[in-house]
Amino acid sequence: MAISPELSGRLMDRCLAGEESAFGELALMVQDDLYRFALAHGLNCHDAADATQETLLRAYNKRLSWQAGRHAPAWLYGFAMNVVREFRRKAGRRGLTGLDPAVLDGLEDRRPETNAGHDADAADRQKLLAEAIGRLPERQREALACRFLQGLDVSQTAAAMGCAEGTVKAAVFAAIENLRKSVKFEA
Amino acid sequence: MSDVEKNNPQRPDDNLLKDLLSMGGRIRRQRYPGNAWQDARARQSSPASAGRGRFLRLILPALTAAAALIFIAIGVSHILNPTARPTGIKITRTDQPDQADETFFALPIPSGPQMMGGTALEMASSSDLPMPDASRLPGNFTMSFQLPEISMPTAASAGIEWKTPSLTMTSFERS
Repeated sequence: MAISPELSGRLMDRCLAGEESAFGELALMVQDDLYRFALAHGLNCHDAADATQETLLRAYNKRLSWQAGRHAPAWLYGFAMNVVREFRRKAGRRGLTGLDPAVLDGLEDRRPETNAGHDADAADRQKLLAEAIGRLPERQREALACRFLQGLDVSQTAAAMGCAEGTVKAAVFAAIENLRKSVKFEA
Repeated sequence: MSDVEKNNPQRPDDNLLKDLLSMGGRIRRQRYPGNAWQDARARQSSPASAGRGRFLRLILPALTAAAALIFIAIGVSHILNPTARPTGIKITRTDQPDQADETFFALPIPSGPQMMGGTALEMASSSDLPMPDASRLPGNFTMSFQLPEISMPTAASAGIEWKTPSLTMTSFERS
């Protein structure tokens, strides 16, 4: 995770002290991570951008609830998780439940070196895998997305999901077991 | 080795794990296109957003409150007046089908407990309520009274002399 707890915490402290520009600095620092967080949880690129903005607005509107010494990334991911859940509910009504194919196909990242070695089999496998992730129960999918796709550690995932670390570990384990059953890979 | 690789209970050469980490790598290369905070502030101050905010803050609660008041009013009226109460009597002739629905006279029934002891016609004769115009009643009719919970024997016993007392008193007007 790229968000520095110390730096983001100091920026929030400055924001709470009345320095409005500090939140702008914080937003610039965390926007990519919040964007990736939304993508990892299955939003498409447009919804992920909207969700990033919405997360920042909510954090700003709730800035008075910030307490010095708190873990700022976990505080922000808590807002992000709620926003993502709302967006997923809306997207679910439109039939969008899996990971955005545009992200998986690398349409937004056309640097040649990033697509090197990406064969058709791997693309098909990842497409199947993305669909299988979309079919997982919500808690398992969220835990898997935080841990594997976003790269958060267990404690950060637990803070974002609002549950215990043991719950995260169990959910990740169950998610992988379910994925093994639904997607058959060659050894 | 990444954190998830170290902590995941599966084999590191697992294709599933590799694919998950590969997908994660793709996602972690994505970047927000622009400045999210500026976009958020711009969106917040846009007229469309302001309109939606005004709708959510003002109009929606007002509509909800109005609907709740109407619902409560209907509920209270049902509690106070649980059954339909007749407020009038129509006298119609029934011997001729083509005139079955013709109303010759509509007698309002006063509401309240005094209704229980008498008849509608008695009430009419002892009050300022309009009396039937018997001259308007043609032909031979059979008069009967079909009022629930109200004893209405005949027009004669009610003290009204009908020249053609062959009517059917059937229907009720509701307020």
